[in-house]
Amino acid sequence: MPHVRTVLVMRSDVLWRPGGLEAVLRRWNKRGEVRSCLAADHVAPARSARTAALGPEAAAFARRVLAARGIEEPYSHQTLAYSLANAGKDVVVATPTASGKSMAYVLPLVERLGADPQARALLLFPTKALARDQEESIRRSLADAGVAAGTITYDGDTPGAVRRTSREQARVILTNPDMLHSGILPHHAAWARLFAGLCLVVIDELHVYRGVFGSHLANVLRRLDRVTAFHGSRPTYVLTSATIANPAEHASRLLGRPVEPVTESGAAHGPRRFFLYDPPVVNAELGLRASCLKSAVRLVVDLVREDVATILFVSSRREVELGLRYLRSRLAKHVSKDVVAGYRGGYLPSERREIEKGLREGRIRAVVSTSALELGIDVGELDACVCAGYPGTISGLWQRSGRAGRRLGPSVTVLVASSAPVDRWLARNPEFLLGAPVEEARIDPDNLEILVPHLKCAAFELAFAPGDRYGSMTAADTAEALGYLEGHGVVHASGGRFHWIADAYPATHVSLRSVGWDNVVVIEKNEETDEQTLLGEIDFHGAHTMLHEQAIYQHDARTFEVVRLDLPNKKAFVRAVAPDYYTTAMTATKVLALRVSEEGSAGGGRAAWGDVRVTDKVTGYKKLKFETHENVGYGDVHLPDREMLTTALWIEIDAAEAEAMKVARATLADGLRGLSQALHTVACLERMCDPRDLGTALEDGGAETGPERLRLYVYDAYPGGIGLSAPLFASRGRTLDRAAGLVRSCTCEAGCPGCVGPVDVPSVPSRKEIALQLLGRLRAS
Amino acid sequence: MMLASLRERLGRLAPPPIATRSLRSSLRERARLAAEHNLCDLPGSVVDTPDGRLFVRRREYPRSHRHGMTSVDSALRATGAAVAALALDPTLRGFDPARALFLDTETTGLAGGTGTLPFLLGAAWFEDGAVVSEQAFLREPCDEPVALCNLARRIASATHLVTFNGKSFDWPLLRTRFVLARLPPPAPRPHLDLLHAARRVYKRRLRDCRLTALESEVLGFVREGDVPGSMIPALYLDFLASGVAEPLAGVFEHNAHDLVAMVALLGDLHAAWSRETDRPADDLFAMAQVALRAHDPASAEAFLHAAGDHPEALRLRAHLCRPADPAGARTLLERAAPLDATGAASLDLAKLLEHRLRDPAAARLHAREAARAGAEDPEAAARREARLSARIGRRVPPSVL
Repeated sequence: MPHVRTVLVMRSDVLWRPGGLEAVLRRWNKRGEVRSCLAADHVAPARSARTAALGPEAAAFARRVLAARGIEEPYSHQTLAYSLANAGKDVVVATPTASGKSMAYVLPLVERLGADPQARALLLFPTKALARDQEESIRRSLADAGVAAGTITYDGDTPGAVRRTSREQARVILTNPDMLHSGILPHHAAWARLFAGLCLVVIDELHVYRGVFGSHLANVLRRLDRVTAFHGSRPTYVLTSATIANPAEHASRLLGRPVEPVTESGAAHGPRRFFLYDPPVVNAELGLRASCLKSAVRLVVDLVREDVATILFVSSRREVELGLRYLRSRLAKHVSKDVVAGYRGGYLPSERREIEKGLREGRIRAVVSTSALELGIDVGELDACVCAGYPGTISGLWQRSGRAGRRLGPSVTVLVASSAPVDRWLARNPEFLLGAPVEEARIDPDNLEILVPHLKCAAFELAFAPGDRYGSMTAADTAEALGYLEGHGVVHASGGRFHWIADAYPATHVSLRSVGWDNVVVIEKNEETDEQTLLGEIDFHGAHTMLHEQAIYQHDARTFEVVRLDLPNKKAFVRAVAPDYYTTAMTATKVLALRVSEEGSAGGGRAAWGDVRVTDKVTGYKKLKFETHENVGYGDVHLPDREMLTTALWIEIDAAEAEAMKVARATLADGLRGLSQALHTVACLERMCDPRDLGTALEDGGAETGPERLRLYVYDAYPGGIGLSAPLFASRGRTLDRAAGLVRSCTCEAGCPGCVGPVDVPSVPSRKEIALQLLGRLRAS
Repeated sequence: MMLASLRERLGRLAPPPIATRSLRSSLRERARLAAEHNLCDLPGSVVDTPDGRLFVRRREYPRSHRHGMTSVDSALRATGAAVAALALDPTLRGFDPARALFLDTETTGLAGGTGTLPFLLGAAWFEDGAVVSEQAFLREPCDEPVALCNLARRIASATHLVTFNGKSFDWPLLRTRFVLARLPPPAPRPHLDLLHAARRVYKRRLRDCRLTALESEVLGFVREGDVPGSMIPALYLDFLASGVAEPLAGVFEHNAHDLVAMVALLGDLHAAWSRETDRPADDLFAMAQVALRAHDPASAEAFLHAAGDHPEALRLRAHLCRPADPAGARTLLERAAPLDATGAASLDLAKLLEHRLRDPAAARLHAREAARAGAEDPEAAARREARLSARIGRRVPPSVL
């Protein structure tokens, strides 16, 4: 049955009955200007639901939760996860977005807590917002099940009085890895009741914990294992993940033991259509295409006018505001402004709750969002998803696409290609999207730069007894590592045990994330009344580009000018204005080598690793006119540079190579850039890290090298470095070999996202060819 | 992970100052032996307890011992009623100083959390009118279980605990240590935290209510050559690394001073509460506030009366007698107004005259006085002025606004 709505919209004094998705598709198909832009059209057939009854072992609690939601039989993956978890097996549920993953942990949760009044559960979410989102729904499930168990979100915002109650009374604690690491484990004696009764640990959104962040979490979980063992519990873990290539392997590396995978979704879905929309060429001479965002907005307007509930994903918070503004103005004649909402980090939690509710109840028919809505926030069923620009990964694209899709009716996802090289390439090779495997999640919990700080925290939490092991280390290795800490005077061996003995709280020196997550609050100050209103919050990193003085800050399609940015106190004061332009900050990244730790050759070039300073500078801002996006002015930004001291591997070649290869210097630099992309891909594989954990930069004739050389940096994207550069230097021969293998075996002609990066206009010789030649020189002995 | 490679990789991470494991263990052994030998530099000796051997220093302070101007036995007069009121904690009504345990620990860190080790556990109690202190010292971290068991016995034989900031620091820390040592935590006792009681009484006079500040300002005792609290963790860590014990003697002294100071402070607080000695009006006013919070209006009235011409005390008295005796309240406020530079007394008086005594003309006079002193924001003052003028039946001259 197609979804039928009875909303009637007034249009030109004629009653107009919206025709739903089918009508939109018919129109797109009829209208040449849309049809000609569709670079791919793929249909995934509908699938009916596969359900499975809970086994006879299930007690009344889980059944009551199902009954309260009118579910007769859960989906097969939910039942499988439930029975594995109930049998005490650690399980990872990796099924598509909106397949009901949370039910997979809610059922065992109510069952365990209902059966044993002392039992407790710990739920980890990657962000504070997600934990707060789930709190209500978990409370409701416990109430439906008739289980009396206090549920509390414990994070940096939890008031002092509630903290005490959490420790002593709450049976379900929702928190994030950072809080577990720095606020709970170091005080585990105060949480003795939680740890003694802990029977279930839930790790939601497992796919987020990749690379360095995931390696940190793995070590936090090693500490959690020690603490729960001390208090006499051995909890079962239920992990949920969006689709990744290796959920079981990833979960097992994270927990340090085998984990049962549940990957076959039993959820039903209607037929799903996927389009790639390449905006039309508007200036053939310059090869300019229509704006990606505005093209996307146009498609969304078509959808909303036919009353199709739609989500528009954009790549930045600024684009959320622009998209929202354009959508509202183009839909003003047809629907009221409240029917369209923006959603992004920076909106107040209450605003976000209201938008989620509006989406679930169908009051809001279109939402413009950043990746914030990729995570498992419940917004009900939507019919269409439009992505303005490729999100960067296949798994990210399918996660977004999964936001649209009903159990019965059809749904559609449209990827609108942007002008970025990767999007241009995808527009020409759309089959890549349908054929490519989703990405793997990788971690390396034994990276000593990560392991040792957590070993300190572990020693702080509980003295190490003779024969104790930490993580995957043998007892002898653990003793060796503790001896190393003793040499640094932070632990003391006494009576065969290693005691923490320094006047320090080691968890405060370990941050699980590369960037702090202290927010800058945005305050509107009314100049006449001096009245202050809290508008929203922006993370510290974003504050530099969105909240510099004179920036136009947009919130819910309203515009404000930043009057003052008080970074030390994390406040930005804004006033309401109505300009015809918005601003966008210009940034530049520069890397400077400070100290060489080791150097050597790389074929005909030179390689080294050592300490570097990576400087991110906001150099100024541009004023861009709304709608036309034309540049109407510039301004200066006076903000301290964001500097990061870290470590890097660098490879240097002579500019004279250009002559030898008979190409222009710019072509050589472009080839080196291509080489850096291949090197980055291979380096992430070798170091088991996430692409975001390593940065690359090219210095062409920089101050250190002089004009006659080019230098390519691959740096650890973490303050202080995180131990990725030194091993990359040591294995540079192999890494360069693998990079060459990657490029050579790639079937593309001139370059693609899989090897040296996409090229829009192929040159002769191609970027791929130059990169291969350079690799040849760097590998020659 | 290969052992050799792990060592090598660790060494590359940040080479420890003492590189090899064998050197470390021989240094550790040497420090341990040295420590054993050097313990004679510390006051105290190794004794046998039911749970094992423990380094303990025991000391007795005769009942006549004075800490500054306060004799320790004055604490014995502290009554349950006074203590319960000062602590705003009815569970302390049964407080008996003769059966209380005074507790203070020195630790390896002030940050809290499970990795903080109390290495000197000081306790004191009354025995036949004299104060006995016992300081248990961890020669090594592995002495801790014996010291905890010993302390548990002391706590078991006491009915109440007395600490200074122990509610947030020492007691949670000790509980944690019992949990970590897998020992049953001692049953909680009604707990008098002198920090809170002393702060209530002395906060108006002393900005700083740390124990040493109270000691010098209130008890009249000035420590000489005291080890600053912030240095204590490092001294113990140095001892563990080197075995040199002598610098720790100062920590024993510091801890002993803290214990005796707590006993004396209890005596002083009781003397203040029972008004055995003359006290500054600020303290008396502060105690009146405590008495009111403890639902003891009679004591509050007595403290306020004793505070004499203290403007805030007069205002509070007026506030208390206003329902029954507005005229008496007026007299008190008229006494307070010229003494009170903040204008608050004038404002109180204006309100009393306007609402209770129905004398808008007099009220306006005092309201203007209050406005001059800036007792309330100008807008509120203007509204008051306008209202009073309307009642008097005359327009307000604009100059007043």
